[in-house]
Amino acid sequence: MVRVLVVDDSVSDREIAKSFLKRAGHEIIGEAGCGEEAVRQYTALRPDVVIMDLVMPKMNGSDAARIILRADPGARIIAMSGLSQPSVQVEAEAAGILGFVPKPVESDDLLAEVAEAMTPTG
Amino acid sequence: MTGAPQTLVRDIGEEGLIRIFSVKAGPLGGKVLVPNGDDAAAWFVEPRYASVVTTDTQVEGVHFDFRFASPIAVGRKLVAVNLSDIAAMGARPRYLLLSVCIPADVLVATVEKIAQGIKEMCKLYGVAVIGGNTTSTTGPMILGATLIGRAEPDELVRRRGAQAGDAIFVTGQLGDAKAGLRMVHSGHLPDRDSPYSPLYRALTDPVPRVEVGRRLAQHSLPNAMCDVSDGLGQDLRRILVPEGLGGRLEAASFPISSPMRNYCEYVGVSPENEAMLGGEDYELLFTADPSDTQHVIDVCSSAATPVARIGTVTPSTDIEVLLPDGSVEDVPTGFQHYDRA
Repeated sequence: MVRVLVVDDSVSDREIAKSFLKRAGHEIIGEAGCGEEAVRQYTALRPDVVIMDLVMPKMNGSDAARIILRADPGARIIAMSGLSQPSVQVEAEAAGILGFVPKPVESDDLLAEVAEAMTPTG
Repeated sequence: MTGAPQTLVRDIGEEGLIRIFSVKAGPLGGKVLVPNGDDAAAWFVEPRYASVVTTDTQVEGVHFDFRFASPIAVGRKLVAVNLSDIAAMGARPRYLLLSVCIPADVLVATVEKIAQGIKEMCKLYGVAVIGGNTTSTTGPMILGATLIGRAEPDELVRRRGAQAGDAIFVTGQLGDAKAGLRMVHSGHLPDRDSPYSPLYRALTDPVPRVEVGRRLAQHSLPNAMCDVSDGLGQDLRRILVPEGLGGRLEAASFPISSPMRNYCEYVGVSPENEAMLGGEDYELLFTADPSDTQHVIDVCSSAATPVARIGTVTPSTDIEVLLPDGSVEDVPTGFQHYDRA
């Protein structure tokens, strides 16, 4: 079981991701609708994995990931995004995000990325 | 990784090339039975899904030119054009096969950058490279890719299916890549900070509309859909005329970016005409019941993708456009390979 923080400003997309994760036996220990809240929740909860939307109002997912990784370089952050703008791709890569789950999220893609993120690297 | 910066492909041979293009299957690895490195790839067929396959080739001198496009962008675009085809079917991309013909006198560093671009796009869109082929050539560089996707059978969107009275929609902006191509032909490429740089980037590094294609399909909104690769006029004909249908476009509703409009004014051409003629937009062009217009807008908005309603499907096979001055003209045809003109 993996302890997951789900971050997305779209309530419906967040609910879909949560339902896929719960059905696979993972625990949702927190959720956030913006980057600022994601940083706060990460600091307080220290989840195993963060599922982070990239395009959000105010602080976007890449900025939130950068702040989290600066405080905890071992943080495992997976982006959940449709990558509709080139700048989003560039920022996410630079921020150090581990993997990408294309939107609209499908269960097997999300679970495979979570499993990959939890696999120890040699 | 492969020695001196001036090392050529002939110095590393086929095995060296294979190593450059090889990539771990990534998160999809569990579904791949035989990854790259064998005679053929094998993966577990996924029950209840239809497999969706497309292939596209980029040829040096026809589709790309290293004087104007970086090798990374060339690699990214090879994947992007295939992703765009999968998006136009409403499908999700999964696996990629490569087929590359590379002259022996190309720098290995150039090939490494192309491979980097391919890998970047595959990572971003959740695609696993599962195999391919490399060969030498005495001609121009040829980069081919076959992309395999999946979709639930009842969510597949085809080119056929438009109905008279449907509204015609297009995502994003039209003509940016065409303006970028004008810049290339003029030899004046924009600086990174130039207001015209998005036009050049639209040509060399297009963004495939994968998310919005899937979302539209999941909501069963498009009756017919394709991507705009050869120009609005040409691609609209492809989805309407075989059905015995036509269309009336309204030029005033064309989605035209500010940089594109300004550039057209600068070079003295009509932005509306460029929007109709332009190729390589890689936007999604689709028809839908007009009563679904707000639903279409909402779904596209959920994918952070602009959409414009640009016309109506008509019962005759004429493809016309209402111009801003009130006149009506035939929509010009866009790019065609083997065009004798």
